[in-house]
Amino acid sequence: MAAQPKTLPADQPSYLEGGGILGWLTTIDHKRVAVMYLVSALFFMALGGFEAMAIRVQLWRPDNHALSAATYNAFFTMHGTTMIFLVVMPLLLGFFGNFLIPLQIGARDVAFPRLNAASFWLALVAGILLHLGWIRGGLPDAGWFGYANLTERYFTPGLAIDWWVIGLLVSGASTVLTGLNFLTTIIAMRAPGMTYMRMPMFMWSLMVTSILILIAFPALTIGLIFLLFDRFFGTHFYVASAGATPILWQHLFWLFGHPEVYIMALPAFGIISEVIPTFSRKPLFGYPMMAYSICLIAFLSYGVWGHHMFATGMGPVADSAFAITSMLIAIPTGVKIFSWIATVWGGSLRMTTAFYFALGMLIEFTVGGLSGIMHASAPIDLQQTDSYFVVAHFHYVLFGGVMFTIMSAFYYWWPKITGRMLDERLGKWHFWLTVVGFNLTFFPMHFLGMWGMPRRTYTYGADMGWMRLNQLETIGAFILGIAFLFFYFNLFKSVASREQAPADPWDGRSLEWSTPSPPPAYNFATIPQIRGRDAWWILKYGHAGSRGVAAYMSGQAPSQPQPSQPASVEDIHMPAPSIFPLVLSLGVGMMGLGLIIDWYRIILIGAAVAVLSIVGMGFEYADFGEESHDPEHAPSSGGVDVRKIGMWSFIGSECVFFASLISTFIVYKSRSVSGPGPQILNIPLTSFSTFILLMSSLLMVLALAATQRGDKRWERIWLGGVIAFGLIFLGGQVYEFTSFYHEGMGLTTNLFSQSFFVLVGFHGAHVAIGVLWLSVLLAAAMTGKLGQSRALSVELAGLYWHFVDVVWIIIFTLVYLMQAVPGA
Amino acid sequence: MERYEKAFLSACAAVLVIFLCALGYSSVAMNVHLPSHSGMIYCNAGQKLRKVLLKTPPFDHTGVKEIAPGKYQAVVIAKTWAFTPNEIDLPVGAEVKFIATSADVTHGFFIVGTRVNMMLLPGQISELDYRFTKPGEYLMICHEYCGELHHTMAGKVVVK
Repeated sequence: MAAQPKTLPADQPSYLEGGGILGWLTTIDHKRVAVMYLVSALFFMALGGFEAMAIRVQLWRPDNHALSAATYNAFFTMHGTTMIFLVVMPLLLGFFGNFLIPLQIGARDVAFPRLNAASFWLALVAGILLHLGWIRGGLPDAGWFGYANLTERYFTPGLAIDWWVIGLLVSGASTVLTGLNFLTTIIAMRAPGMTYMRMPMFMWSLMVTSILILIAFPALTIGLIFLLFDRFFGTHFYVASAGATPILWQHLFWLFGHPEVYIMALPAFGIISEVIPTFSRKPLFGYPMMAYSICLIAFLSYGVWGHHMFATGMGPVADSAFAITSMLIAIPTGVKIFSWIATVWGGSLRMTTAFYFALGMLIEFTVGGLSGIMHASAPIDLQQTDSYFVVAHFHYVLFGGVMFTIMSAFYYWWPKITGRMLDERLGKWHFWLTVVGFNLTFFPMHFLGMWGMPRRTYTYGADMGWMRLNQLETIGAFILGIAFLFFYFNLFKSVASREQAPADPWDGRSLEWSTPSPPPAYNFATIPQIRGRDAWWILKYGHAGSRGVAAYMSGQAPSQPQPSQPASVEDIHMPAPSIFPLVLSLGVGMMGLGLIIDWYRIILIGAAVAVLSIVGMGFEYADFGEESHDPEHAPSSGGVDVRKIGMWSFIGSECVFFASLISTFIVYKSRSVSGPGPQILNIPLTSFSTFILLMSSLLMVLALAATQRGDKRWERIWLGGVIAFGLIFLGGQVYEFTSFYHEGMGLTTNLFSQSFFVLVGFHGAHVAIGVLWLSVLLAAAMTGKLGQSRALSVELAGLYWHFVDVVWIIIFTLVYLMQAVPGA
Repeated sequence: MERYEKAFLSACAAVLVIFLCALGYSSVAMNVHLPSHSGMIYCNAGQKLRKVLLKTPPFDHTGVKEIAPGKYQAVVIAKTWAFTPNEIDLPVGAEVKFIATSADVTHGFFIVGTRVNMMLLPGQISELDYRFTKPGEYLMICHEYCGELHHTMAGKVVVK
């Protein structure tokens, strides 16, 4: 951007202005999407908080019946599910992440704005689906981690768990899309000069979190898909009498579940690493170590899930391994705590509410971290598993660590987001009430847990001696409730006030403070050039200022650089709004709804709506393109197109998806109690279709080459060839499935058949989607719309196609060929 | 590297070594072992797990049995929402091997104030050794949420 800054009318509209209701429904502006996440999360936070207080009321005294047992069970299930999936993640990723990623890396929007809007609407649909039990079938009531086999239809009939399964599947899809979007954005859209080691720490944490999302969520998706098949189609993935073992759910769930803890904690670590330097007026201590420790935590978090399962009897080897990895993960976390303390040390502190909450987080999170290390030691963990001690531990982590951070982030970034300050005096009240209420509620839980009080218990006997502390906790919960009233009131008061917040109220360090509060829709009039860490600080004070407090203390006044002024607003083209993300999510919601209330017409309509809106988005894309993909605005991608980075991220996520399916198959293939086994497989036939599929990859390469050199004729021929070969493969699969069916092996026959059909069937679905995708490309080629300039579209489809083929090679080897080897 | 940094790293290493030594000591010298699963219960086609269980030793005779002088085994079946047996009587100082499983959903088996804490999974046999050295009445609860009346699922261990 060589455009020279020139003065424009001061009343440049902020992103919040204009558009009306329709403007919000069709928006794909990352800041508006963020605000919608905020509104839905604030609603669900009130709901989840209400559930928590109801739980505490029920536990006020022994043998209490303030709630019915069924309501109590539904409330603790929905409290956990709501707070994790509908409050904390939407706030950290959807709200702060969405709002700040482009602003902190100097971009105008995220990499895929339409996808971003779709993520929000899907998240909202998931939230609604999870709560439709209020209307029909009852709220989900199997605990937030819904241990199988209690969730089987035999043990929990009715619709409650159905809502939970479908709701979480949709929520998972939304989160994976967000992760993919964020990862691509941070890799590819950084402003010129913003190297990885110059990114704000919040960006580091979000980048690593996105990777964690991509590799962790597929495990949950697979676990939920098995449960869905069990509940709706009569399979036995978690049924012991069929030879299966419910522990499969625990492995899949915690393989997702422990990284999930860090998906919530890492962004919080990032936020704290922004707030503390700002209010200490010092650069973040040990920046490289902070970045590396985030990576190390993410890496280790994928190998510690077993510490949730010490009581299941995994055996000494697995137990020791998980104990050691769980202790190791304390080291990078400790590095972070000490670095934050070192950042505060010797700083010129400004005791704002945001900073209060940040310091509170340091203390409360350390308490939670310490009880976490206790859990790492397997023998100690045994006295704590499923007791109230665990409840204390994870609330110290998730409330003390994460919620305190979220509050800090609210006070810190609210002026940027709304253009209004939050009241500091109310904020201090909010802080102290939170600290008192929080510790009063959760600290006694440590003792109750050691005295034997289990979690999720509806009530307790008078002879247990648990009453006094429970009453203390209930009082604490109400104080916490009052604290939240202060918070909501503060938000309300600030939005209602007319006082304009300055652009840079805290003397901030990162780029978002260079924009007006609230920023205009396009964020930056001119894309800034980054010269070091703390980019905005350097712009204000020069490099010397970034070295520490010295420059400030020596009385060197800030030079007051102008917040970035629009160069020429007409030159900035933001992607056009679109209704399709909303429509797509409605379609997905209808599919889920139809499946649950057993109304197949709704499923079909929903599917049609979803497919049509994807096609619609495709047309929009072809018409307008996404301006944020302008290479000029994406200088950090090293010449790789964002869509390609997105595709690779997606493929990485799919690897875990298939790995989970394949491992389940390997565990289950020989555990059937009856019926046909692997010998039923027709290896000659499948070898033939494998050959066809591999050949189709070759044709795909030829098709791409033809497109790249602009050869329209061969482009069509090769594309047609790939589609034909794909169809032959699918035909072979249909033949194979029907012949198995006639030989007496259906989906529900035994463990072998269900793992086989689900694995191979999901692969087949991937091939079918590939064929559809290529058909669209072929149609475009036929009408002359493809051609050299759009070779990338063919390349993307090719990447996907090759990936699906590679997966098939693995499946063919492990599922088919291994059976041909005697003794395998 | 600065002196403080070195000191800090050594302290970290020392803590880690102490942790690992404590783990080793507790498992070797104090004979603290984690629950392990000693076997599976397989059903044939069409059989119900809880019926198979009644015919599978040792679960065909639940309760406490002296298997050697001073050595006992306690066989427990967890079922929605009770333990069979609901009361286990043991002499002080006896070494007892708990053998337990679930007949329907995933249950917990926790004796408060001890490290006897096992998750009971349907189709899997869990075992744990423990010695009660103090007389008294111990609460034995299911702490894995198992349905509507989960909170009523409790029994006791009486050590005399």
